[in-house]
Amino acid sequence: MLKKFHREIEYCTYCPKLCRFSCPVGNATGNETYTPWGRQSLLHLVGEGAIPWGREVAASVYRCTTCMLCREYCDHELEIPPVMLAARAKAVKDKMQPQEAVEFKGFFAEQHNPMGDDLSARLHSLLPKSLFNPDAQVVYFPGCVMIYNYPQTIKNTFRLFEALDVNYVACYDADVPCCGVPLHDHGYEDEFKANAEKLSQKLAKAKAVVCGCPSCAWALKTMLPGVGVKITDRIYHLTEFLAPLVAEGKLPIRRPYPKRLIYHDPCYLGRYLGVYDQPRNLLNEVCREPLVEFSWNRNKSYCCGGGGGIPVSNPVLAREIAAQRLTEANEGEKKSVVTACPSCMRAFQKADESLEVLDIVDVLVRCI
Amino acid sequence: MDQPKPKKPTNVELLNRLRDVLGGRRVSRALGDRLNYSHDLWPRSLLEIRRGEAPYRPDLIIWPETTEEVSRVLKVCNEMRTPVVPFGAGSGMCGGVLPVCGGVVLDTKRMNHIERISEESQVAVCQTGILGIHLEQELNRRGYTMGHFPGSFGISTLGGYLATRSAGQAATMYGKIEDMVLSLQAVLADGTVIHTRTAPRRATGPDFNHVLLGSEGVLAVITRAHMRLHALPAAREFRSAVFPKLDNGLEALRLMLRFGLRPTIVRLSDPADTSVTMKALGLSAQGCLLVMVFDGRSAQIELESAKALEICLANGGRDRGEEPARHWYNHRFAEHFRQSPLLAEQKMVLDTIELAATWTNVKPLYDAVHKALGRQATVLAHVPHAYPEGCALAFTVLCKVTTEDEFKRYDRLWQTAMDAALKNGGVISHAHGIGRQKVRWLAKQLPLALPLLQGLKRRLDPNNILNPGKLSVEVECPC
Repeated sequence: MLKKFHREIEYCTYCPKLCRFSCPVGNATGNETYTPWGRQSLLHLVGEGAIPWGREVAASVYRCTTCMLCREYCDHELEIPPVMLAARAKAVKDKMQPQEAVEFKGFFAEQHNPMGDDLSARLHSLLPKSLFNPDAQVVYFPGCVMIYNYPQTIKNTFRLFEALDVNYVACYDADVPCCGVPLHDHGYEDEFKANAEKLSQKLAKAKAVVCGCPSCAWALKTMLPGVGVKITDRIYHLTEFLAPLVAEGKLPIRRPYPKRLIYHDPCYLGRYLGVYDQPRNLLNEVCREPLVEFSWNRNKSYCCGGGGGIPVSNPVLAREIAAQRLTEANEGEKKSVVTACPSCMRAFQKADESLEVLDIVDVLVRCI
Repeated sequence: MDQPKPKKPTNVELLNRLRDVLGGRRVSRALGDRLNYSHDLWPRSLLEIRRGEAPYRPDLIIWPETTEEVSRVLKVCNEMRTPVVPFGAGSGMCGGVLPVCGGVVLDTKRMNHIERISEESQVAVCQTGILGIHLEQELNRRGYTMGHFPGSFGISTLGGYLATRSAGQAATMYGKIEDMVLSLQAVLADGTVIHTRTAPRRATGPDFNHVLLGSEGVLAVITRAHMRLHALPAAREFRSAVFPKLDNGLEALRLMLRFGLRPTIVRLSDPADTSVTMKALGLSAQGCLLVMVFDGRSAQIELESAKALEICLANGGRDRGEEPARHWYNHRFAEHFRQSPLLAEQKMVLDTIELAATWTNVKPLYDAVHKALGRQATVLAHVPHAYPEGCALAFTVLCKVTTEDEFKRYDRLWQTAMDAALKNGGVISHAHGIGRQKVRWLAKQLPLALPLLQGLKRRLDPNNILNPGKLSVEVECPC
């Protein structure tokens, strides 16, 4: 299962830890094991037969947010998250996964999402019936984290569509509410595929899908086809969909957004999907104050701690990573954090309840 | 090389007492952690890893967050006669953190805060577990630099710099770590916290900072430092020259520094190193490449760089413009990426032997070491740092290793280089420290001083719990 990652494992093992300063888990814990070098070194020793493949080693591969920042500092352009995810899948197959992962799977199975709630019912109570159309060709896919935590952002999204005169986008009815990334993050590949197949049936008529969450967009765009599940190849994140419309002047802006904002690039929107300019262009259209950048931005953006299943397996660690990211947001003049990912928003709010964290959609709506 | 046997595992009482101090999350006895903290980046350790071996496993790893916590855990370990190895980021290249007696590895990286920056005095007060790159990035955001850029810049801590007497690429202008530190806070083996006073200079007897600098964790755990800062330079200029022979380049460097020029960075390559550096640029050059970087106000560095070039031309150099220097600067940490494919695919060892000598001795030293190493390995050499009195020499060695004789071959390389250094008036380390690797030659380098150092060690750490087997040929494990 890990043989195809031989090069990654060997190169990292013999590397003088050149990306270690960028690893959010390594930085937050201070633990050498929780760096790309440390985790890969253990997989190397397992491969050499020097140590057993047991629960302790398996636990280490669950300490990765999958943020992919390490790749940006690797001259060999090695991608570590796929190795970690393959090792997690092996852990599941060998029944070596951490207890948190086992519990997560059980919890997910109850409602087919990680929230343990009927998200379809929530969504239907939130939006008028007219916005749900099973035959629609363009579908808005909010994602489970968004439905559960940020219903107002979903409402705002449709307010924006209305203001932009976009009347052809229907809301996904969320019968299968989750893209499956959380299952995949915990090593449950078979369950991910089963979820993907159901999702594919639900989205069979869609010719384009607009996602509110970057990891959903990544999953639909690459992970579903990766496991042989068919879906339209026209998958967009919401900012990709909105940016050209706003640039054409279709958004009736009545007042500029008055507060100072600092923009956080979500890992899956940036490093995975390559979307950096659209969110900034949208914000620059409506903000009175210049947009503030984190010193680690764009392809070097630092993780919020909300990915890779870390909030489930180690919520304290997730908060520590988010707190590190927020240091710059909290210094000097008070700023609100704006981003384009509900998981990032959630991670930041858990780390600092006093901080205002917004989705770009929320900012845009306040200006119309 | 004879190696001591690891000590027996630490007992449950120690585990519980450390958990009482730090809580469960910051004490680990996980197998993975014990393996990953069993070595640093000494290539000999990497060869062991390739064979699936990790001979020196610590029993526990701990992550204190404050000086007070360090004090409390050292009291516990001292009472229980347990070895403690202070650990930064493990980027050392000579086995300075090998837990040769087992015991506890004390990882400092959760002590990673910049506590204060005094704008008026241009001083930063830092915990020592902060990574150098994180410290520098934060200082840059505020308009400052510490000016310390060792090759391990992204993978090493401030505490590591202090404990090994590190020097960075910009040492010619900003100085070495000993020139950057104003005061230290450290914890002795019995838990006593000591401070040196923060002042631009002092004449209050021997400077205790200098006792701790380079002490490689055997005298105390350094937990906080007041560091000198510099304003970020307003401008930067790059210059390059190629000399027909290394002697010409060395003489040009010597004269530049004697004249009073202080380039931020100078790097003079020998012919083999020049060939590699220029090839990366898609260029070819025979001779010895000198790259120079000048930082400061534009009018000042314009004059300085022009004078430096004038000295180069007067000593047989040819002007090669900005590009070789700019390219080297932009890729100055990237050469470390070569290590992985060499070790993993070509089964070759890449190591750096770094020495230093005065100008009088430097060329004979280069010739002797180069000749001795050249019989056994591919050798590239360069001058990474230069001072008015002399310079450092770094020999990059590349040799094929095979299963049966890889360790012997590797050890023989070092034996050759160290012997040649001692015979030709050099010091056996300029900036990397001693660790377990060079300790045999340290006794020859410091025949009188080493016993004094060991006397101080016995006074400060009578139970020998702090980093046993370092700065001491004998390994005496506490018991």
